[in-house]
Amino acid sequence: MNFQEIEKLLDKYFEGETSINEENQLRKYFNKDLLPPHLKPYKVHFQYFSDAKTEEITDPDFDQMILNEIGERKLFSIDGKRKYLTYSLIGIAASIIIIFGFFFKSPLDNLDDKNFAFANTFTDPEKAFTETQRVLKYISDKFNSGVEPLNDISKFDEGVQSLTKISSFNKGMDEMNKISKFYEYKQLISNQSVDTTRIIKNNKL
Amino acid sequence: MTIEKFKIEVLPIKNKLYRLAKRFLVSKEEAEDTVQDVLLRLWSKKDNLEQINSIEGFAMVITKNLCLDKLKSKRRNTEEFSDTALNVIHKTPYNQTEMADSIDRINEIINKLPDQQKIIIHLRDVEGYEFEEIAEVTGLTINTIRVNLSRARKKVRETVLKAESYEFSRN
Repeated sequence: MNFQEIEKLLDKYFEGETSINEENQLRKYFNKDLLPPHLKPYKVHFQYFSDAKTEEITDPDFDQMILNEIGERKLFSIDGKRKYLTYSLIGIAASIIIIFGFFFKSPLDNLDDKNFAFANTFTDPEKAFTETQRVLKYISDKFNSGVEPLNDISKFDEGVQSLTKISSFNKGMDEMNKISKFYEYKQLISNQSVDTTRIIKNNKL
Repeated sequence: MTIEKFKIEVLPIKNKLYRLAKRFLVSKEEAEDTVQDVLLRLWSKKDNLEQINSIEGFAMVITKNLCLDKLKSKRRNTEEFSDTALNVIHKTPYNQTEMADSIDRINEIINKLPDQQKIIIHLRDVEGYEFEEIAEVTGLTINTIRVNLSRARKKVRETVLKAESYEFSRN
């Protein structure tokens, strides 16, 4: 292609009238190293767009990031309709359980005294009494051994006793209250002096 | 749509989405975040995705809208945003410094274009979209697209020629 043809194409190009095919011809032509001087400036113009097309996402993990995100979304994607269905199923199941609870008595309710685990096993009352005493004694022994370490609590009382001395501090504080009386008087005196100066002024007038 | 199908049909357009997002947002990280957002939105519509005739076009529309939303809130938050954005010079790795300078300058001038011209010149001259495809993404008529494309290209030419005459007069 001679440069006259190229010039024509260039004019068409800048008017936005060239086809993709013609633009490719131009690109090819200006990719050459040897160009007539007056056409040389356009080389960089077409070079720019060819370069721009080679620009790509450089992050090597980009695809994996997208695929991970998509995989996760798939697991949790409960869309509107399915969400509604899931929740209503949970509700139905819960009400069925509650209704069954009302109508079916627990098997424990049917046990009478005879079948119960703590049913009476003694026939002789005296034997039963001695057995009960033995059990209670055993319990009280264990209970006392548990209480023993609590004796140390009396030390706490000793400590608290020494705190009674604080009451003498309170006495001191009461004495301090009398100081406030002093301020009251001081206030009174100053008020009076204001009054007297006013009186003096009024008298002068 | 299954994950496998998504991998084959949707994931490969990520770089096209990225380039569009970066055209608007300039920052690499923000562009990547936006693409991630777009892809996850597409996945959330996976049941209807196969009925769409061009998933790529649909994805480009979502990307464009997200970017414009982000820019809007940014411009609202910081009045001086446009100034700072223009001052950022994005260096492209290039051996010939002269060429690199011009490429940076073109990048800058495209960043300064109005949003409409920016997206049109990007879709046409970078991605090689047909006018009909651009119309699908932008919602503009073919004629409007042609006019805006012409304006954007001429603006780029202006910068290139100015830079060239400067080089010429210096030598």
